[in-house]
Amino acid sequence: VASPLSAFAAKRAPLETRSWLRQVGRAGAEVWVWPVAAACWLVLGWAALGWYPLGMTSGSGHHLGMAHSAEPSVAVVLAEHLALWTAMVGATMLPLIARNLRGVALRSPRARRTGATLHVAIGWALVWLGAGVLLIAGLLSWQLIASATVIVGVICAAAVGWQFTGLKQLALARCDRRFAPPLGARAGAACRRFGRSLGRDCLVSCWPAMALMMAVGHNALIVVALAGLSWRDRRLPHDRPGRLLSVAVLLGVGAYVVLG
Amino acid sequence: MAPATHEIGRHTVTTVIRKAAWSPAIPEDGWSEDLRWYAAAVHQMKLMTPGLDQYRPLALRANFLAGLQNPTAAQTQQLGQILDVLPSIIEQWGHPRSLGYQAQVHATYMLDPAAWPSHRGTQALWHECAHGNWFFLPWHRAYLLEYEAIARAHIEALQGSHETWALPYWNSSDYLTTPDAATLPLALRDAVLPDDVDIPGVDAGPDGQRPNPLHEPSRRGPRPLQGPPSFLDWPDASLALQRAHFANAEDDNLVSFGGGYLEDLRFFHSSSELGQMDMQPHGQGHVRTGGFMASFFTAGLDPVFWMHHANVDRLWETYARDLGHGYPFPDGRPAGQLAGEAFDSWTGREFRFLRSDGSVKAWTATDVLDTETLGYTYESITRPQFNPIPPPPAGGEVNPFGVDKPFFAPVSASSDVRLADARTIELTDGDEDDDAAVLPGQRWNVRFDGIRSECPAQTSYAVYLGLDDDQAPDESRLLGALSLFGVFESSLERNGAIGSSRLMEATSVVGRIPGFNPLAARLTLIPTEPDRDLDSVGLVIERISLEVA
Repeated sequence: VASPLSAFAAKRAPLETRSWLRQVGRAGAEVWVWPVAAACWLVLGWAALGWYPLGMTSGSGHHLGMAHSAEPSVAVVLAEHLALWTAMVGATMLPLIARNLRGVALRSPRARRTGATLHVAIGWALVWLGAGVLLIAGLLSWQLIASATVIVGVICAAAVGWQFTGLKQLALARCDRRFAPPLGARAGAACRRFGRSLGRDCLVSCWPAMALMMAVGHNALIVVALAGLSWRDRRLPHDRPGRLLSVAVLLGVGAYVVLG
Repeated sequence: MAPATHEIGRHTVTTVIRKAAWSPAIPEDGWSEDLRWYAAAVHQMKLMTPGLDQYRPLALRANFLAGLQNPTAAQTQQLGQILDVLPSIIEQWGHPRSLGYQAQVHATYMLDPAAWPSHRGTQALWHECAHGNWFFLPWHRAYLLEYEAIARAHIEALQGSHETWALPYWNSSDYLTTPDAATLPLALRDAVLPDDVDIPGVDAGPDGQRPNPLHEPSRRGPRPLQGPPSFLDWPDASLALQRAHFANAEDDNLVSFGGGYLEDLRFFHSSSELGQMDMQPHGQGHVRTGGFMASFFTAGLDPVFWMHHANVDRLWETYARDLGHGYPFPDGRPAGQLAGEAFDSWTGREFRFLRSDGSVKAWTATDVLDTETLGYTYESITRPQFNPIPPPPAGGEVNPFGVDKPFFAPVSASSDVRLADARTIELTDGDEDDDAAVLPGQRWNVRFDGIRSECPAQTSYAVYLGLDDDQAPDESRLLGALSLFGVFESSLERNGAIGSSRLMEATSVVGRIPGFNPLAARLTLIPTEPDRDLDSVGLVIERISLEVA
């Protein structure tokens, strides 16, 4: 049965984008990725409108999202940021591993396919959550000694420089890995291990973009632009990175924040 | 009736005939007219490839260093020294009429894409080959056409018979009727030309000898076949030509003739849904010949590469015309979602080649289906004699796929298998609750996932299912040859260390094993080239599984 997405894909999108959309339209055991990602985008949307997930008022649009009307406790601030970080990872990064999840599902016994995708996703998410805690703590501490403009500028410069590193290219190339887990009792642990390794590669490849999203207080426009860059990174052949556009977008984000 | 003429590049040519390198019509010394002119063209192409003799040992050494998981400090240093030199050589290969340029079109890895040379203002279009998917055959057909046109231009410049010349093919798959065909054509064997063979443009060197342009010193085979004929023999095309379908849907796991439909075109260069033709005779031929031929990165530098691929291309004609399978989508865009989307993919992907006049030619798969329109035919596309194997069960066919696409699931498996010499592996760990019973109508596969190696493959492996401990290898239990061409390239860190997959249909063999227990299946792998240094290859298979649908 043709899904509406596939029908759209067949008519409107460029050929290579179309083929990606077709995969989405034919999702198997990893189908849960899409509603989860959609829910995360909703959370980010609410946050952009000032409705933060923990019910707090927030200075939406202020850098790092830290301009609260009342002085909240450190724990609430951390929880708020961690919730938004999690939503950002779910919205922008989770869809990028859908193909990896499908690969694991297809190599698993029928009854365990969804479970296998969940095990991989848990391992992967733990890496991002760990990175999120460190990043949030780092950014909040940094904000005590530097202005938000400086912070965003430095992260932007780091993100541009990161595009040209071998580490970024190696990690990006590894993002396409698939995995055939062992059968039986060892399958779950092996899937989580693969998820952690996949998470490490995602993190190494995309940490500057995610840090930048965080530093600009989850500005919706910037999150969409940077998510688009990460998606494009995955779509281009890994040995031919389209760095020019990436650098232009990153510099544009930097200019928008610093000058705006 | 006058012969048909066609425009190929700036040439108007008659429909030329690609002829066999092994044939009673060939002179006893193997030097046919077409091979002489091929040698003349290759000589000119090599003259435009400076530094090839310096490149050879360095590239072959790099192939054995670049993939090492735990290199010593000395090995790392040596690789660094090699990679300091190789790019400066390859940078000189920017002219599309050079052999070096044409080889890099297949694959290159020593030079960052940003540093690829330009020709007449257009950057080289390198590293374009399609393997492991259904574009394998059409892309290589277009590649051969471009190469043949360049060779023809050189022949024209030498005032040769360019209008009737065609690339000869190494008809290795005819070996059951022409046993010598399993070995290198005679004209390609010796380093120097025979006294009575004159090749236009080739002069004697300082040592008074004339080099044979078709010779490649890095080759290691193939050695003559021994023992009774078998579909395990590397040039055998029985398994491939008896596949019922041209393509398999991605991950729908029917071994096809031509390869997997590429659902996501992003993986044009790096997918792993090999068709049977890609594995054998194609992949096996590369590995058996060895040297430059053993790696994607260097294969095109060996003149036999093009003759080997011409034979693969001919076998596609055999499959489509002589055996009556036709070409994909004869009636245009089919109804049905999968087939319709597959049609869009098949017709939409361009294969781009830079030509010597600076223009870029974009072919699509549908452009290269009618060889006569393209200006060539083959001397013979009659199917080769088959080794006696039961053909795989046929499914109802909706061109180019089977409609009964079964959805396979693993039943038993073994993980993290290291492989060098012969080895028997137990496939276990299955669950009685899964589809573990052998029932009529089922189809069985053995799947190899995450195959990785540190060096180019040195051998293929004969794969047997259900051999007992004391049982000699028995053809009734033989699944086929595990061809490993391309595994090294997919194992490199810079390519993501993704590894390769292979698939073999086991339905017929399972049916022949009395009391077969899928939860305790034995798989025996025996190297076909046991004398080579197999320990150094570092071959690891993430998982081998038995699947059922």
